[in-house]
Amino acid sequence: MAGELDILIERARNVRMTGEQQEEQRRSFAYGNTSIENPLITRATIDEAAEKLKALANGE
Amino acid sequence: MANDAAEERHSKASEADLITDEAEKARREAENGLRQFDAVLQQVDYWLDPDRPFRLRPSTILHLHRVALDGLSSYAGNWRPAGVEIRGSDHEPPGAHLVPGLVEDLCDYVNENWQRETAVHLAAYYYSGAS
Repeated sequence: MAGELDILIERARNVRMTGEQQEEQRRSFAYGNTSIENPLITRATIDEAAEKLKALANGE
Repeated sequence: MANDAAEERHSKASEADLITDEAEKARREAENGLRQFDAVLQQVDYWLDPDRPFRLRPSTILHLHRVALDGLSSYAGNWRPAGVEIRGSDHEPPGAHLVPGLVEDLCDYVNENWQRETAVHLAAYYYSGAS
């Protein structure tokens, strides 16, 4: 099991994510890390927060 | 169901919340989670320079802590000054006075084993030590 995981991690070193894939990973990371502490946080909460931050970055 | 949620395992620091509205607090935590991802990527980019051997430092951990708790805790970016409990768990986190030294030990272990151990091992060690 650990060996298979190590192989997958090694393979992942050479994967170049698209911007869309990276954004998907970003939202997944935020959801996983925050919902474990606060059950009120849903994937929709993360999506709304991401859109808000994007608008702020664009000066909207 | 409400009781199940109340019984879920999560940490509770002995301090007053900066945001008392639960929905607003959830929104802030979500934003900070996204900002923390961005901060981690910045760290990765910084350390990918081959002339810059990676070192895990307590200051790096505190930086990510600040990003995660900014606007939520007056202790964001600082080691907790008081006790903390993990609801739903028998684990007793160490006293606040022990945290800085334990984090230094944790960083030392990761740095000393950076070339020897797998990413999974080091991540598991970090997670178990930081909890």
